[in-house]
Amino acid sequence: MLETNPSLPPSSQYMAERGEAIYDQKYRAELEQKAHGKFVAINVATGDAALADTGEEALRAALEKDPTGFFHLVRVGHRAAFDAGWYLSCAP
Amino acid sequence: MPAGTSAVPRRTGSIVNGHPYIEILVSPDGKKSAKQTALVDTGFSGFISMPAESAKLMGLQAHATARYTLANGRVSDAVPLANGYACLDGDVLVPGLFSISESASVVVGMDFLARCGKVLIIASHSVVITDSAEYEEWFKPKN
Repeated sequence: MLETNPSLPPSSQYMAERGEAIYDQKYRAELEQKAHGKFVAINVATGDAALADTGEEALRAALEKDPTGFFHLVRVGHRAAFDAGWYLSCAP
Repeated sequence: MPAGTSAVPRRTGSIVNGHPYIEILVSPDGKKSAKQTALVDTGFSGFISMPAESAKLMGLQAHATARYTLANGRVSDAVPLANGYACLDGDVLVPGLFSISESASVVVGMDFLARCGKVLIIASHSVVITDSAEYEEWFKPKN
């Protein structure tokens, strides 16, 4: 189940929190005015952002800038990047 | 066209315990690929969710994280993401984002159907997948 996943490496949660903090500080106010529904990939080391219509495109653009970078994906104006559906929400 | 025939390319899936499954190809690099049986979850907005063990065997490299809105409205823990490729068995691989999860099944979502240009028709005992363009052609007004 996605909600509580003890087998995830601790770094995943840290990376997400770091990416969200950067998004809140540097990008949220501007992007939520002009890019609602788009995806932004935040480089958790440099704070750079890549914006695109899809998550896949945002991450590819971010990787072009920094091929060894690690990123957190945010959907502008949404609490999460994706909807999980019933199976991923409920499967053990 | 004679009754009972169609020019529309179709693939069929199966219904197992009430859930639709289809055969897909997955690839880490767009070159070598492996066949997987995948559950279709139309509530999943992403491309593919892959169990962690399968992702490891496939050679997917996570380089990002994201969160999901769960069916109960809550937001998930961070989930690793990797770029990869997938398609219906027999089609050309298309790029997309793989979520690496602890679920037991490979799951395909709406982004997979959109990127592959497919329509999913779920009947009581079977699943049919056809091209979106061909499906739309069925509903064009005929003179």
